[in-house]
Amino acid sequence: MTEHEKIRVLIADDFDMLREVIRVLIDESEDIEVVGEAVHLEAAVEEAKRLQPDVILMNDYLPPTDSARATELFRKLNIPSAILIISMQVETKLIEQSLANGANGFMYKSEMGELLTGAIHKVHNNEQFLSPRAEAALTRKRD
Amino acid sequence: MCCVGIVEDHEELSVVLQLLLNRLTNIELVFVAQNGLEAIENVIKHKPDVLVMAVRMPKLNGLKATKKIVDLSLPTRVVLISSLERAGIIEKAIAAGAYSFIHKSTLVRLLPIAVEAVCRGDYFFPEE
Repeated sequence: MTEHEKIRVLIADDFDMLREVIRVLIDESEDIEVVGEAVHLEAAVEEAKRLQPDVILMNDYLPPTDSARATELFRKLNIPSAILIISMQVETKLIEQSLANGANGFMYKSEMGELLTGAIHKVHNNEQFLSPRAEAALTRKRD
Repeated sequence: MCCVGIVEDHEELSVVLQLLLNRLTNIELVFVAQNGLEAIENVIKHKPDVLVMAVRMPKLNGLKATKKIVDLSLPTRVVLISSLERAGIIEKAIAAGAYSFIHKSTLVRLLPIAVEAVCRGDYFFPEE
């Protein structure tokens, strides 16, 4: 696979050590690369426009707003990148709202070791990705 | 297999530590705790080979918890992590009985190396 064909990822999260670990996890993959980082919403929009990443890995809170509103803004601005939300907590309402506003996937940060690269591939292929824990949380809520 | 415990009260940093250590082969994560008192309880219960522990924590801080582990003659070797720039912190870590001290600014890069070294029984105090 050539450099050109790699899936290009923008990391949007305000916690620097987490961005570093995500780089470590992605560096192990042959066909995904990190092309940029952003620590708040404004920077994320700017970098998404400039870099045109295939996938935006977005924290559930991107100062000054949450992932649902951030996703809404990205879609209003016609930014076509797939959006994969990463989160520390189980907040089913936020998962649902983010997906309804145009996010393509959701996973917990603790699941990234096993699931991150697979999730990136899935949302890049225009499929929705919900991690098993996220799926279980949503199912529990519907019951 | 080297058994490792994690003690960190900052939840997201704890996840970062778990993600880093789970990548290492020959390492088994045996517990995750949130303060120094929980650390002592878990070390007595699980007797891990290595404990990765924050310095600044509620209840019992990492330096005191390290000293306690040494005083109790437990076999666990401690890697301390901290964002404190305070002069003498490394000397304090050594005096408490730690096998390694890693500053949080270099953590993602150096913690895997530190844990592997301390698992082998070596000390690891990087220059930076």
